Amino acid sequence: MRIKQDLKRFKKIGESHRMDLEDFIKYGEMNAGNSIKVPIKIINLPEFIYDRYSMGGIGQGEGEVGDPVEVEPGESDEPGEPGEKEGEHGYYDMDPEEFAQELDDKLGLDMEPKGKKVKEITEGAMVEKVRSGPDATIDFEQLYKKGLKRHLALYFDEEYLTEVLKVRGMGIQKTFEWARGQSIPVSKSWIEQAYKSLNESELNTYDSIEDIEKEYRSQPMASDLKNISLRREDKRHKYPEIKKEYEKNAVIIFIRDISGSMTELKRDLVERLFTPLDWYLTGKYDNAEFRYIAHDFNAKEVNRNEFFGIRSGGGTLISSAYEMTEDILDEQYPFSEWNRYVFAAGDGENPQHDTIDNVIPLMEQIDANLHSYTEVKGNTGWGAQHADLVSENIGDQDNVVVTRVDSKDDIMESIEDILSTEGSE
Amino acid sequence: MINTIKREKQQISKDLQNIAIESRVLAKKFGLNPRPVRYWIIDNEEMNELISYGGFQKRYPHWRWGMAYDKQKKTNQYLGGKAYEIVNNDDPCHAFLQMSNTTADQKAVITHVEAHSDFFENNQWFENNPSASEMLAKHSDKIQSYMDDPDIDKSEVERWIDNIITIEDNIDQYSDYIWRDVGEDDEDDENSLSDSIDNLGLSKDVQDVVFDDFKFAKEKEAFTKEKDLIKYIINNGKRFDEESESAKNFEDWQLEILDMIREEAYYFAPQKMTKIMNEGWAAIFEGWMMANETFADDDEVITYADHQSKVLNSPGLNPYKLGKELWHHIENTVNRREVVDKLLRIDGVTPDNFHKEIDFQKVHDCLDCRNSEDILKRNYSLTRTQNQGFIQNIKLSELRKCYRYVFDSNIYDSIEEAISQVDYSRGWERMKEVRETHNDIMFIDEFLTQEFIDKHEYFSYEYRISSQRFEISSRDVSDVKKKLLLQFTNFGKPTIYAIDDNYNNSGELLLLHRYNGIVLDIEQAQQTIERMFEMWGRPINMATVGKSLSEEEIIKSKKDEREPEPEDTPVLFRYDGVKWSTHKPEHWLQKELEKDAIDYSTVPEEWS
Repeated sequence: MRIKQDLKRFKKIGESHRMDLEDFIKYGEMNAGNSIKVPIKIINLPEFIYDRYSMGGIGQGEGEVGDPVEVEPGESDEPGEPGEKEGEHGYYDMDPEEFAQELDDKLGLDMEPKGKKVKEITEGAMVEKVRSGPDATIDFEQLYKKGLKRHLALYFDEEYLTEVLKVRGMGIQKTFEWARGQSIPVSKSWIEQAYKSLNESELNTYDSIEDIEKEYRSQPMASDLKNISLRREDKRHKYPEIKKEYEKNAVIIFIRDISGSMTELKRDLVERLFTPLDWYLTGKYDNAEFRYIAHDFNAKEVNRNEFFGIRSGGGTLISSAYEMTEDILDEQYPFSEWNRYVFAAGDGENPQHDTIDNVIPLMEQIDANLHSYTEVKGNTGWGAQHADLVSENIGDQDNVVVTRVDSKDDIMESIEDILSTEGSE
Repeated sequence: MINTIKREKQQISKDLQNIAIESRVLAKKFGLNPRPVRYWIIDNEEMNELISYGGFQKRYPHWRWGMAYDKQKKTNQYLGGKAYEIVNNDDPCHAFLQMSNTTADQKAVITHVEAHSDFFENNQWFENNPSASEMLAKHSDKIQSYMDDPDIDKSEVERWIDNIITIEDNIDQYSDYIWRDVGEDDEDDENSLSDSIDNLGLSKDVQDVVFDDFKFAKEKEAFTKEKDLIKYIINNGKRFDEESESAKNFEDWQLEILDMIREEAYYFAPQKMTKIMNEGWAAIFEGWMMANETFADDDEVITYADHQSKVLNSPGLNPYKLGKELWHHIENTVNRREVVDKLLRIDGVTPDNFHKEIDFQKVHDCLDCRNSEDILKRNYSLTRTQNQGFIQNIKLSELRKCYRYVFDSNIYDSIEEAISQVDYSRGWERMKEVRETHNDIMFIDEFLTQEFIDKHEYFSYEYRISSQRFEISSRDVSDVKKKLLLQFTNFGKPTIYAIDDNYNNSGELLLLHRYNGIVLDIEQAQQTIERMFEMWGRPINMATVGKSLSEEEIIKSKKDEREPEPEDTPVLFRYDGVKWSTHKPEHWLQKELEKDAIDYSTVPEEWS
């Protein structure tokens, strides 16, 4: 179909028009939840059109003069031919894996998530063997082979050996010695039995062993395979191989200050910082669980939607959030089984004694791949020393990182600092 | 698999053959005169492709069809949107029916198509005997051949198409003889003159110095305004050669593509100019056929009604809906005038006692011919349930207007007698006339009434600077009409003239925005001109008007608690291929930039 070529061409142009990732993080819509919609820069061709504000328009419905009219940005009322309203193709849907990959490429990150938790004990191929089990799992091939081996080991041409006894002067003892010399697995008692079964007249049939060859052709072994005996002691049951798979799993705790001093701008910066981290780790890990803690004086756990919206008028006590973090992690996410990330952000206003006496010890105490604290638009005055204090006291630990974001321009760097820091275990 | 589909299609087309024939018979009974239609049964994939190509099977290679296709597929996926009808304006028309449609849908589509075909055939804005499929396929092959040509850079062809498309709506869609104009009269002389200068074998620099003034000198006073920018470029444009950084004559393929895209723009223009009428016409006719004439079987009526409501209740300004409503309004008002004309001739009835004297229920009962043999009588609009009260709602002013033409009053004794003289075909006949002569602008201008606006709750809105939002500005017919006309005049886009191909005496292009009080989207205008530069090869100037709001006015308006009034400021933008500069237009240009008489503003007095 011809249209497929046009479609291919469009997709190619569309990709080259995708908004730069950094611009997207700085200016894009963040509240898209799980779907990452990277705007495609307008790819409709320019034309001479009216200024939409100057133009006004027509609507249908109720309302008085002076009532506001909802006009979708960029949407014109003009009816179009198919393909005319090109601006509608606004987004490139990116999945978290792709986002993580792009961010890796962009920032040169090389985070390699570790598998920690035993995901499941899977039963692999039926290659293990055990002595008991249902009949259906009997490894018959094995059983037969063992029987066959034994059979082969014990096999000798009985008729031929009987002929040997008929050679002049061989007798029981001589025949036995000859057989051993030929490595024929025969017992002396068998020879004795065979000797007894012979008639006197048969005893001197041959003059020498060589004479037997003229008269007798040895029995091919195959003719005797029917009589292989299978023994209980050879029986084995098949059993699946046990594989332990480790899952790349992580728990991510987001801590956000919602106290009265967190203005709209600060909240936006926190969202722009946390959302890409959220997407990145979702993309990196097979299973990433997110927990959201909002705190002022007290901490409470909220869902994702609430997390960025809520505000309170209260003061700040960051340790409340870390206490809750410790509880959540210890109860549900043992460090031996989970990669743990604790990201906190706020404007740094916290009582000094709380930072020193409570927060820092807690940060040291809570095992995690990474503890980050990001100060957004920190006040320069005294009283906003949380970031400084954390940095001074435990900043040199390899799983602790402190960043500062004063404007959208700092977001990328902060993300890079955070994601390129990770403690070794 | 393919064979099964093919067989299925054949079966469907066999089943639909009779429906198409019946539909044509009914159409003729109504007095329609459709062009022959060729019906095609296609699957969903093919439908998506056709829609993306604007109703044709073959278009030149371009990414925007792909974009339309992508969107079409997504719409289908998310909304379960079904493409019910696609018909193109060709001779014969080609209509495409999706094989998954129910029989009810197919019937509706077919009646719809018949009406479109009638419209294409009879509306005077359309060319006679188009051979569109052939033309478009030819263009497709030609452009493909340029793309395959190893001597031509494929991406350059695409870029060239993109450039032309930015001005594809800047044609002179009202002019009749579009083809003959290209490359005629004095333009030719000038070209041959410049050719002979070129043949002198002088270097470019010498040519410029010695001959430029002579070559391009023109009188300012005697300029013409050319609305067809593509034509202007074909005649006077040059390509910009990156290597030599100078203007060079077009390559053959560049000229050809300019010609082809212009031809296509003219071909599609009438459809854009009659969208409201044409869609409304088809919707009206489909309604009559399907519901009134019971073209749909009983069990199909519900599916049909469901589909109708889906199409008509789409959000935004819907051309189907507006068109349908306006057509109904024409039908009703013309029919009403006829009825009222008869009623006013009843002994003792005058405009002033009309509403007292007339028993409207009786009028309704007398008019009722729903079981009539006559197709127009049984489809008569005023007896439909939804139109009850329409006669009664007539305003005194209109009654008086009617009464002025009533010379022989007092000739009927009763309502029965008066109604027996009513001509039931008046409304329908008028509609047929309108569908022959009008385009959307004329249609809106002539038939939009306050009664219509009130009934359908239309309003106009404006951006209010003081509250920084769009607000309802008026529900008055004159205002709503202004905004509607603005949206449909010149495809809802500003008019741009090319008025000088030798501006500044150096082959620069001068564009003039015909200012009507609505300013340009400057960003887009500049982007468009940057692309035009590649087709002009020399600097481009554009005279337009900007609105400026001084600090002083902002403060003053705040103090007076009124809407600030921006000031019209004439401005000349110039693009030299690298950068933009802004100038004050010369006096004669400023005069040209004065707002023309039509005022599109609907800002209410209390805002200012």
